[in-house]
Amino acid sequence: MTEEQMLAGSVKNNAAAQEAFYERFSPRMLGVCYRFAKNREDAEDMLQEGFIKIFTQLHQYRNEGSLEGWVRRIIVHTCINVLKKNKKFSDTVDLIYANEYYTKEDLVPSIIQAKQIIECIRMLPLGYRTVLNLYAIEGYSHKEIGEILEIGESSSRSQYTRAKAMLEGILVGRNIIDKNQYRNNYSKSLTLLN
Amino acid sequence: MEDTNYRNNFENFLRESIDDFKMIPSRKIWHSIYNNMHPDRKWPSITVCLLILVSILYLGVSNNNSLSKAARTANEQNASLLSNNSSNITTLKELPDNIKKEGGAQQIAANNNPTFIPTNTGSTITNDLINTPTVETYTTTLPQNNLEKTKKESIFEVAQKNKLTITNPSYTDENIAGSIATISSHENRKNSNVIPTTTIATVTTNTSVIYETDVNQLSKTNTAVTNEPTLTTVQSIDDKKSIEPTNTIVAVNESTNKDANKSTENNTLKELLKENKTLSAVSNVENKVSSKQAFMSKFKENASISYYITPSIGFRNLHSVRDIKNYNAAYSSFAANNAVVSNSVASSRDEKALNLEVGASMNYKLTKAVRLKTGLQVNYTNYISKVNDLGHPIQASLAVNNQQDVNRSSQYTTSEGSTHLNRSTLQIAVPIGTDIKIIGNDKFKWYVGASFQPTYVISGSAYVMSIDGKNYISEKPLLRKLNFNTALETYLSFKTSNGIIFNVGPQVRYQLLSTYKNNYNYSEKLYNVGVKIGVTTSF
Repeated sequence: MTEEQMLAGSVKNNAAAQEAFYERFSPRMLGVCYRFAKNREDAEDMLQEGFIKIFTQLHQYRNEGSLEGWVRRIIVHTCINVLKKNKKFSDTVDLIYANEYYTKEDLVPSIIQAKQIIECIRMLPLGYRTVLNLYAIEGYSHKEIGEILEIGESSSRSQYTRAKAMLEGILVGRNIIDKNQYRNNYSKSLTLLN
Repeated sequence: MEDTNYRNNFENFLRESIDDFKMIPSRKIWHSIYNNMHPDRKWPSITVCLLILVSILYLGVSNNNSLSKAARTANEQNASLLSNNSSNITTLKELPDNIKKEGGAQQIAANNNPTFIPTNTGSTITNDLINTPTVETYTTTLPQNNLEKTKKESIFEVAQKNKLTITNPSYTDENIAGSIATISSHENRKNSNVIPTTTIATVTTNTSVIYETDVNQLSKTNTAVTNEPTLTTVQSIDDKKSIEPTNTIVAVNESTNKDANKSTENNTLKELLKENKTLSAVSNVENKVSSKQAFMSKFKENASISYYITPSIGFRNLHSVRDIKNYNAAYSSFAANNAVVSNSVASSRDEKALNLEVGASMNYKLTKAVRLKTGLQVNYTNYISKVNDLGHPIQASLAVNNQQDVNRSSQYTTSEGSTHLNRSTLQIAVPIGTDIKIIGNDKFKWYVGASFQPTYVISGSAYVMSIDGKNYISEKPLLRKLNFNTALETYLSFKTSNGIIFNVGPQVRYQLLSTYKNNYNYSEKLYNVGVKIGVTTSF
C-alpha cells in the first residue's frame, strides 16, 4: 500500500489503511513516547492516545512537510499533554544534586547504542528530560518549549543547560562518550573544514 | 566559538544516535485504537456470542425434552401398573427362569451381571400384598466392566429389556461412574402377588451420603430378612467426578431365600413405607432431581420457539439534515462531457423492491396474555432508483458534515432513466420484544407484538447524492454499520392437532437511524410493510 493510498484510506476511516498507517509509524513513535514517559506502559498509553488523535485529525493534513514529521508532532504534543496532567515542568533539580547523581553510576562497556543513550536520558528528572527531548532531539526552540510547557523561555534555557550537563555526566560516567576526546575530535574536524 | 560548536555537535550526536530508535508496541495497543475508531465493529462478535448462547440453550432444552419424554412414558407405564389392582398379578412362577435358578444374594452377587434384575411385567399392588410381603434385600457389587457396559446402554433400554419400571425419569445413564445395586425382592406365597414399588434395584452414584443412607436402610431390611446380607461398597470409577445421584429403578423379583420368608412375615412393605426408612433415602434423591425437573418442566411449559419469514415491500423516507442550498450554488457538478445535469433529486424515481426477513425467536410466556421474545434474524433490504447512465463519469462533490468536501467520480444523474441503482443491504438483527394476546381460545389466538432490533449491516451498496442533488455517487464507506429497527405486528395463530402453531399477519418495520453515517447530508430511513408467516413449536 502506497503512502497516498494509506493516507486516503485512513481519512475514510478504512480499518486496513489505518492498520498499515499504524504499522508504519508506531515503532518509531513508541520510541519517541518512551523518551518522555516514565515507563513502557505509560509510553504505550501515550502512543495509543496519539494515534487516535492522528486518525481523527488526519483530514487536516495538507501535504505540507513530511507525513512522519506531522505524525511526530502530534505524538510529542500528546506526550506533553499527558505529562502536564501529572507534573509541573517548573520543577527543577539543583546542579549539585545532578553531579552527585551521575557520579554514582557504574561504568559500563563503552558501546554507543541508541537504547543506552535513551536510558541515560530517561534517568534525568522529568522537567530536564522533557526540555532536553524537545530542544535537543525534537528541535523545538526555547520559546516554543516555554509555550508548550507553560514556563518561561529563560526557564527552558536554564533547565536545558542543566539537563545537558547532567546527561553529559551520565554518558561520560558510563563510558558512552569521552568528553575530552569528543571535544578534540570535533576541534580537529573543524580545523580540517577550515 | 568552539564551545558553541561543541554544543551543536552534542545535540547532533544525540539526534543521530536516537533518530532510528524503534520499539515494537504490543498488539493490544492497535486493538484499543481500532476499537476506538470503529466502535460499531464490536457488534459481530456480540451477535455471534448471542447466537451461540441461543443455540446452546436450544440444544440443552431439546435434549432434556427427549429424555423427559422417555421418562414420561415410563411413568405412564408405572401408573398403569399401579392402577391395575386386580389383574395381571404375577406369580413367582411367572418370573424368569434365570432368576429362580440363581437363588440367593450370594449367588447373584457372584454373578457378574447384577446391575438390573429382570422382573415381571404387569405387577400390581394390592392391600393383601402390602400387608404380607416377604422382603429379601441384598446389595451387591457392580463390577467395573458391567458398569461400563451399562453406561453404553441406555438405562431406558435396559429397563425396557428387563421389564423394569423407572420411577425417577431424570436418570442420565452417562452419569454412572460408580454404583451400587441394591436388589430387593418380594415374595408372597399365599397370594402369589408381588409389589412393584419395592426397591429392587437402586443405582446410585458415589455421592456418599445418599449412598450410605440407602445402604443402611437396606441393610436393616436385609438383617431382618436374610441371614447373610451382602453389602458391598462400590468404588467410583472416577471419584473426582461430581455426579448427582441417579434414580431408583423399581422392579420386583422373586425371592429364593426360604428362611428369609419365614423370618419376615411381619416385616411388611407397608410398614417399611410407613416408617419411611428404605425409601426415604431414595425419595431424597428423587426430591432433589424432581426440583430440577419442576423447573425445567415449568420452563418448557412456558417456552416456545418460532421460525418465521417476512416478505415485504421496502420504502424510504429521505430528507436533508442541513441546509444545502448554499452548497448547491457553490458546488454544481462539473460535467466533463458537457452532459446536462440540471435535474433535481425529485426527478429520480424510486421503485419498490422485494425485501425479506428470516429468523427464529424464542418465546417465553410471562402471563396468560403476555410473552417475551428474542432471537436472531437476517434482513435483506432493497429498493431501486431509476436513473440515467451518463456514459462517461463526471466529477461530483460530496459534502459531509465536517465541512470537508470530497470530490468523487459519478456515473449517474438523478434524472429518471433506464438504469436501475439497486440499494440493498444484508443485515443481521437481534429482535427483543413482546407479544400480547388480544383474544383467543386454545386453537385460535390473535396477538399484537412489538420488537426493538439492534441491527448490524453485514454488507450493502450505497449510492449517495452529490451536494447539488444531481448525481448519484457510489460511496460504501458512508453506509452505517450499526442501526436499530423497530417492528410492529399483529397476527393470528392457529394450533394444529399435533401441537404446531401457524402464525400469519401483517408487519411494519421502521429503521430508527439513517442508512448512512451522520456526516452525510441526507437522512434516509427505510421502512417495510410485509406479511409475517411463521410456525411455533413448544419444547
